[in-house]
Amino acid sequence: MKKLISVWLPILAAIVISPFSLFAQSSIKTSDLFGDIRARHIGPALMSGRISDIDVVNSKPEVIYVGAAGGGVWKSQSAGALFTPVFDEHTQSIGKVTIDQNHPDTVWVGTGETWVRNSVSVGDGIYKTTDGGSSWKNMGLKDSERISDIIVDPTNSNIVYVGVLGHLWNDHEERGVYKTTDGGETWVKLLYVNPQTGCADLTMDPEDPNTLYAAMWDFRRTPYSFRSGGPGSGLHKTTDGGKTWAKVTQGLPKGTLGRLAVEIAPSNRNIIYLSVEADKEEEKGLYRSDNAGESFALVNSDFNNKVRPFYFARLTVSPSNEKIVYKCGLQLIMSEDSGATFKIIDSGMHSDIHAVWIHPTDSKINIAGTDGGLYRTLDNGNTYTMFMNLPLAQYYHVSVDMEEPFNIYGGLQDNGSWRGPSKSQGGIASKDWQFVLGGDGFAAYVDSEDKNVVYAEAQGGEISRVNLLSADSKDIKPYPRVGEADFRFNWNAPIHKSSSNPKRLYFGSQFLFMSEDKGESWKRLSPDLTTNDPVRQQQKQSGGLSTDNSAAENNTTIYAIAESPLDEKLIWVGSDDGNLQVTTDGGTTWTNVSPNISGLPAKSWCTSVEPGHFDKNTIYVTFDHHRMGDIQPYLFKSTDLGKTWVSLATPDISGYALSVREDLVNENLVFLGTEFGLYISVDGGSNWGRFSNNVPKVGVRDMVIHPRDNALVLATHGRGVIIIDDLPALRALTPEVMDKPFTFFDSPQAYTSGFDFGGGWFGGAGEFVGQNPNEAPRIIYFQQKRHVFGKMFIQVFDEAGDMIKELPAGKSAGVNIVDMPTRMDKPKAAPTNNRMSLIGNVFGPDLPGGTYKAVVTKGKETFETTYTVGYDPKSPHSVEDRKLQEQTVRKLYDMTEQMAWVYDVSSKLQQQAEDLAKSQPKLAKKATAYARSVQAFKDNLVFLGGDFYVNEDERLSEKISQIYGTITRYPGRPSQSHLDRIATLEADFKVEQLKFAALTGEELQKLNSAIEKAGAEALKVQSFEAFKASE
Amino acid sequence: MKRLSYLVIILALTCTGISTAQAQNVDDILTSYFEITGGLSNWKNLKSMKMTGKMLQGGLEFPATMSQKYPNKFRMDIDIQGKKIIQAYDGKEGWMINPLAQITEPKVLTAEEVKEMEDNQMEDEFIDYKSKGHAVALDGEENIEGTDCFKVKLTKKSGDIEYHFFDKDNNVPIMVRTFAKTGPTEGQPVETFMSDYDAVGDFMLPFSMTTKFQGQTVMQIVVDSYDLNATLDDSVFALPK
Repeated sequence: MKKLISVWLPILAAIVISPFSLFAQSSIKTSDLFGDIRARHIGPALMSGRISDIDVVNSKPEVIYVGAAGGGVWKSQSAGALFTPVFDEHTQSIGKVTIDQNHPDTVWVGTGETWVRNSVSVGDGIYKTTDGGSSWKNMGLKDSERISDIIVDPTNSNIVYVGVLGHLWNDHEERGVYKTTDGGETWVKLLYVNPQTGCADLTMDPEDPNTLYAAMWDFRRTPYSFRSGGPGSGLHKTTDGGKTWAKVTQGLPKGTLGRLAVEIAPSNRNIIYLSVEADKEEEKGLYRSDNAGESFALVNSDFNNKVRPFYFARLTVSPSNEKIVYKCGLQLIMSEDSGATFKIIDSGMHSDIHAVWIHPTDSKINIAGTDGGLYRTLDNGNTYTMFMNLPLAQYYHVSVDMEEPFNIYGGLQDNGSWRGPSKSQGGIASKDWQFVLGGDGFAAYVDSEDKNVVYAEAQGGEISRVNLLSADSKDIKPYPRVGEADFRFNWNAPIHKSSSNPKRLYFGSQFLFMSEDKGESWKRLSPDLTTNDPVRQQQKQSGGLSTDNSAAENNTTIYAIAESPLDEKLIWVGSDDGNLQVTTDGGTTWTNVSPNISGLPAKSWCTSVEPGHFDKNTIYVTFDHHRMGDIQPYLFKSTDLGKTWVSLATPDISGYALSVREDLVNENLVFLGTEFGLYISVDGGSNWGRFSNNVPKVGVRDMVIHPRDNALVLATHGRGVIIIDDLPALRALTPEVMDKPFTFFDSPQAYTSGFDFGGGWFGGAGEFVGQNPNEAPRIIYFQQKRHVFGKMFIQVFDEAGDMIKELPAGKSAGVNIVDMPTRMDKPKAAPTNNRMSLIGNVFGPDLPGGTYKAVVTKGKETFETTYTVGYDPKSPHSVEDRKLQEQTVRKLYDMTEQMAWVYDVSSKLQQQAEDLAKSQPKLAKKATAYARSVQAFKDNLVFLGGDFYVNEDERLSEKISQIYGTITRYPGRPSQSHLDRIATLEADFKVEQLKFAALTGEELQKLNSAIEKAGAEALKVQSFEAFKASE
Repeated sequence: MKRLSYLVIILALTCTGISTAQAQNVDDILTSYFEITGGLSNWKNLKSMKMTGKMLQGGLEFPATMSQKYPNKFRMDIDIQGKKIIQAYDGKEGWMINPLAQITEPKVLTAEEVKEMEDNQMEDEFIDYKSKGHAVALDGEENIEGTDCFKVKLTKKSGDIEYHFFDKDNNVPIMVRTFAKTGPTEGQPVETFMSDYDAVGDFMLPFSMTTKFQGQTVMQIVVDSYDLNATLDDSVFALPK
């Protein structure tokens, strides 16, 4: 039968493959190509990132869900010791997380953060899990963009109220208060004010689920302004489950209102706290109603009760004490007297608080979410510990250096600029990251001559040169000279480092600057390259009812700069107001080519420019128009310096475009970062596939390709730095390759690994540790289709042609990456009850450097490739020392196997003799005597008593195994003591081997002669070769 | 001839994969799966199985055997350098021996440890799933490592959920996604990929299984042989007295 199948399989394969192979290029989706190529996350987590919401299972407070501004949903089942991401396949911007406390495995997630700063992302509706986060289903409200609140009716889990804040950047009607009565299958809009007004907060009466209050907010952002407040804002109340609503006005300011936050005390339905943004300064602050919303009165006007309502509108009242109320602000503040007085909780926690959860029965315990991660207090806010296991860093930009391993530089939303390694012993941990500069961080580059000097910046163009050794940072910002206009810098002002002249830095306001003296002086290379539209320059008035001039609304500025890697006089500049300027003469003349781009909405924000690495006339550019309510991706390419353009955006791309990179080796390989993840094209941009192998749907703001290490480094705005190490495999995905059923790719450079016990120490849970690159030797191949029927495996041969390993093959469609063995099989060893001996024997010796052959057998076909494993040139061990180590290990390996054979033969002889003694009484005496002498011999070789821990002994076999383990683990020269020890053991073993020869020679022959005379079956000795070959 | 017939079915399915794909409902997928892999009546008559092969974990390789007997008896033996590690469940009680962890005498497993084993039924869950109290639904499609698959959701009587992914080209399962039931990773997906389907008597069975967690391979099993309807005494699974 098996044979029949084997005969049929090739025919089967031929029939299956041939009709498709003609159309291979078009039939393989780009997203199906990536196979085993997998990204790794390196964090960092020590500064974490913005938390937007928290919920905890009341009956099981060790179960915590955290919603991040740009980093998805994380769940802990261990009170925070370990957090795992549970929402990676969905948009990472989270507005609200609500657990159905009656069914804690049911959790609702409203996507789209509602702390609507300039850099806020967008959501795509409401999701529900009924299995504790293992799987999620989108339950609708898909065009809501932002969900502020979700309340499950405690008497009926199918009834859920949702506050939809809605679109930030444009008029839209999918906003207001929604309700489902069938668990999310259908939704009814209960409260709607106008296309500018959404629901910012909801609260439900703890005793009457039909009574709710809704805080409606009239708000709008543009690329250059923000308005909080308008006629739509106000507090509404329903007492009939949302059928009818009444506006609550008694005691509230009469003028225009802004963002409100509302919260009923869970322990007293009559007490309602309300945070109010009003048009008059003296009317802003915290209000309270003591009569179930009949009327409100202002109770506190502390700074944190008024500051930045768009960013901090959240109140949390203790579930067990109506008088304890927390208000999120620049700092977290807390009142224990119903809001009359507040204390600032200043416990080393990051500023900018967005969410607080209070323990249901012990108000001393709370968890707070900030711009810089998650914290918990157990002592009423006196001290907070940070959860260092949430890698939520919101990077804006990223760059790399040429150190080994290379370092990564970049700046984070509200968390400064940092440097960290791409590899570290035991993984990349918090200790490996070095602080560079404070504030919000953006671009950061290391100086080309001094690895301890870094250029970094804070918001609004505050560029500095930082010496990491002395911790000095020098302001190197350009200032206007006499007669020059004030400089306008973007919130995220671009710095660009020339690839042709390592000393050259570019920096942009509305003008382009260049410095070749480490920022000591700047040369202006351009006139105003923006529209200079005065309408877009009123950031000082921005904010609406609460002025908010933080540089976040700075506009008509340069946002992207790139010098051509092929021509230093060719420079591209993109602005945040729609211009794409190019100079071919180093800045003497400039041309705005964005009007040439057909299909690009006017005044779109240019997010990145990528000049070609193969043709200087080529340019890729991304634009982002989401700030005008258009979330389509805009990606264009020109091959004639911007005169004509083609759009490369396809329906396969989702999310507005943030960054584009052309590969440095294969010009058809292009990378696109959007708000919803990473997209890759292997055909110059005609087709795109989302790269989902460990890259969540997170905003990819910037990317850099390491020119030496062939890694793609992503700056994600919510999941830190993500690295794809296997760029050569992506580069090899050419049309010729994809047209064939099976193709080997070149194997990456690999070195013998030495013995690695890992790293790190016994830190327990609690800290995120980033993944190191895979440096094992590996073979890489592409197959058009997944292998399903028939055997597929890999055999590895050494230079002598001996097979050293057979292992399973990678079976997936697309790229398969299979780690090759780094060690020989472990030696066959005698049994032992000595731990160190057993551990010594569990590992085979390192394979020596050399060229190996891998043969992939796939059904009836075989495919062959070779790969080389070298000795790391940076290693302190000479080849001569390594060879001595290898020879020594080999000797001990052979001794171990010889010992195993001696022991095995002896055991079997003893058994045979004992059996004989029973079955042949006449021979019993001789057989028993022989069995006893064999037993005495063998028991002297091996230790089998004790407890396999502290009650253990060693015999010759254990001594050999232990020194074998010792020499195996160190790739350099064995010490003289080692060599002497081995000589001693060899001599001891020789003595034993002589005894063994006698036992199996003369003595056995004597016994066997007697056996033969008696007509019985002689005792047998298995040969060493047969023993080795046996299982 | 019967054996030949299911080859023809594979051929037919493979060549018409696209057209059949559109017309699938979950019972069609399961029917075709049983046809391809040996026929439903053969599956129903399969009452015990012994699998011999090797287990690969962390660069190491160990001989292993796995024995199963109807309804849910289970035993796994691994040999690490002469140390025999055994984990078994006799339908009532789970036990283990692991000399590497100083457990040299059979140790009864805790209720929590047994949780994962209790549900490990010998008989394919899809056989007569309705009478077993399970629910099965086609939950759309999902691309698994570059292969378009039908995503079949199995909600067991116990409430546990598994997703089985059937290659759209041939309706053979290439991956099962289960969820860890205990420990710090509770609720997180564990994915086991099957491949190298080959004939064993009347059956087509996978000879290679790879388990991945968070995208990383954590264990591989390579099967050397299957002994179907093997004679396995109940004492094999019971806690040694």
